[in-house]
Amino acid sequence: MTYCVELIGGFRIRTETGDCAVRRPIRRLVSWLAVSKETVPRVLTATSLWPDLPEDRGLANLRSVCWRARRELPGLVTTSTSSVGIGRDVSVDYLEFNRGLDMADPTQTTPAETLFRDLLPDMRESWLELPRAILRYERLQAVDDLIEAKVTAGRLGDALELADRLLLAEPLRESTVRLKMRAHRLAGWDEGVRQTGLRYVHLLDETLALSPSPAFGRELAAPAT
Amino acid sequence: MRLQLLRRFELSIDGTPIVVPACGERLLARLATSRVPVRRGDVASQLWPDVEARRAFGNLRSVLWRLPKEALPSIAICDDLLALDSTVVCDLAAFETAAVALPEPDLLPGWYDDWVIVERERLQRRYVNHYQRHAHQSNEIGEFAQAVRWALRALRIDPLNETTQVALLRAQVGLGNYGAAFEQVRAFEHVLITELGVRPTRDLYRTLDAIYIQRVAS
Repeated sequence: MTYCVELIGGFRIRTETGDCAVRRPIRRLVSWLAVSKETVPRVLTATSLWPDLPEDRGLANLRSVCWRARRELPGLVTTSTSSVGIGRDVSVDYLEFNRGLDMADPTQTTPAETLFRDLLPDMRESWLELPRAILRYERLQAVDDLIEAKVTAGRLGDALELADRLLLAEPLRESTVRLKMRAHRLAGWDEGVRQTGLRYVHLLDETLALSPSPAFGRELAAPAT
Repeated sequence: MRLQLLRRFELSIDGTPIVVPACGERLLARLATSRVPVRRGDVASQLWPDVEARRAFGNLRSVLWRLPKEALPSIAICDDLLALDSTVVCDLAAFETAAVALPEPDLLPGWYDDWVIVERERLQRRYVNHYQRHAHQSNEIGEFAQAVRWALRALRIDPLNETTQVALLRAQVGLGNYGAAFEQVRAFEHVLITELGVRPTRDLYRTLDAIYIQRVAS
């Protein structure tokens, strides 16, 4: 059985025959292993997943979760006497995303939809905070890259749509505001450049009492095309 | 003869894998990671840290004895010294000489011997340093989006590295993404305090000063 594990946007496991019902302890284990990116020593896994329990109780819990995972979803998790890991034939969207970033052009390999979703948004775990934050930085940068590629390719409508969508979630993201201004300018709509710029200046002043960066001034003053 | 240590262990001759017993794998991996000949006693005590020296020596002898015939030429033995034979091409060695443009190495995943961990961390540190250098250079020439990409690569390997966090922050400030910059500082502070019980150093906060300096200038 080959499994596709989805962590971006929410936990889900699919196989050729459809979605699998996965209990919470197995979800936690699989999520932990995926963000740890490799096989992890049992002790580290047990103390991370059950930080409030003594080590031996944590290890006992881990044994029972592994046993249940093997019975209910064979091949999903691999175990040895000292470590636990994600099964060999399991694909994980979070790891695929990382691999995509190592390629020359991540925007080509990642569906745009994925770029707007958070890592396991419903799960509250301290070990998820950093991977979630890093993925977020990566996603937002990848959307900017995608918008810039669209602007350069002259696909201004696509660029503006993406920019608006990102700014809805991140209204203070100046790099995106500048790309939107550039798209408006290339479309020959100077009023759009000005409006977008002014709206951002007000918002930044209201929320953080700050002024935009020098690059913003240059974008605003760029000659009309 | 080729020895692969990245992603998984494999010894092969002309592309045909040789089955090596687990203890033989550990010996070959140890010799390959050391780069200089090692004394038998040192190898034995590293591979069997929990048994007394005489037993460890005995174990080492039996591992050498049990190596399959085809695998024997992979080890050079000279009196008390053992080394990976110079005719063996090891993928790890390529990483020592090649540019770090290669994908991040995953040295013997699932192995947790102390010497493997040390070697793995050494390799990772090289990558982190390399990415940090690029992030720094990109920041210096005002290529902030590129600096973000480099910094994130380093951060994925070592998320609590403050030098990387500073480089990312500088890039976000350079991009004018002040909201993201403040959020990054908050998130990093929070993780550092809960995980390690310490606060970031002044360097991190100083990076934010640029926001206010730019403001005065504008």
